[in-house]
Amino acid sequence: MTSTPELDTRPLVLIVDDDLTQRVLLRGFLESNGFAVGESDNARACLEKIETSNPKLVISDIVMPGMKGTEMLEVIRRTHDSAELPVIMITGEDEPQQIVEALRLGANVRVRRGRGPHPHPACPA
Amino acid sequence: MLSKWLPGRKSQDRNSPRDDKPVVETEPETAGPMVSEPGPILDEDVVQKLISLSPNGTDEILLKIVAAYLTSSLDNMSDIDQAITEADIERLRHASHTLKSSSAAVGALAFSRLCAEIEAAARDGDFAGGVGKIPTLKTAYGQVRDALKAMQS
Repeated sequence: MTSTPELDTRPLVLIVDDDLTQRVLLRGFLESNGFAVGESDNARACLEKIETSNPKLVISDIVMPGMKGTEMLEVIRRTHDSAELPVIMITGEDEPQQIVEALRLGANVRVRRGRGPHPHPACPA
Repeated sequence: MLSKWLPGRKSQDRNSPRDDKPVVETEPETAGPMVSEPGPILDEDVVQKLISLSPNGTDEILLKIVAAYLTSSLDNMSDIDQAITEADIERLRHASHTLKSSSAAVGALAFSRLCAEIEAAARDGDFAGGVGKIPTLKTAYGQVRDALKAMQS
């Protein structure tokens, strides 16, 4: 008798950040709160994952080599509105222009990178 | 559980099997100039919050984050060296920016502030100012690594 693999019913969150430490931190935080997590170290890889999976949320760094988080957000908003696929942008506290740009392009929330996990992702500063 | 590694050591569980492990405040192996703004190498509150991420009260997630930091920060430090060699101020700014954020995430707040100073110098076009802080950065980085490695052993 063959067994059917269990379907992962947890909502999927995609993380994109070029820094490994931030991805591991976010993954730990999200998984311990009941989310499934996918991750990419660059924006283009994240865009591919959005097409091949069914994420409920994207959490993205803004400052990354290659395609920036705001550029990725612009691409996402061509096909997914903010209700269909919410995007949280993570910024440093000294990046006001990038915050304005992210909100203009359709970011749902921007989160200031904190001094640790609280406040951190999903905990608006 | 990990209070013995933390600077303040507000409490110590004497029944812990890890009582013989080193503490963060042990003299670092790395010699050199001191960090300009002294403070604990690792912030106790941040480390406690990282511990709280593991639902079963273990330090599983904390140790994953520490391992990730020990890997990624080496890349950042290498990027900083490369940026200086190539006089690439944008690379210096980006590497110090990334190191600033990840260091804060593991509780290395004084080191993170030093990274922020280098990032600010690079952003302002003051390459020499940023480079001038590199010896202090390297000393402080050695201290952070020693402290984090003590958690792993």
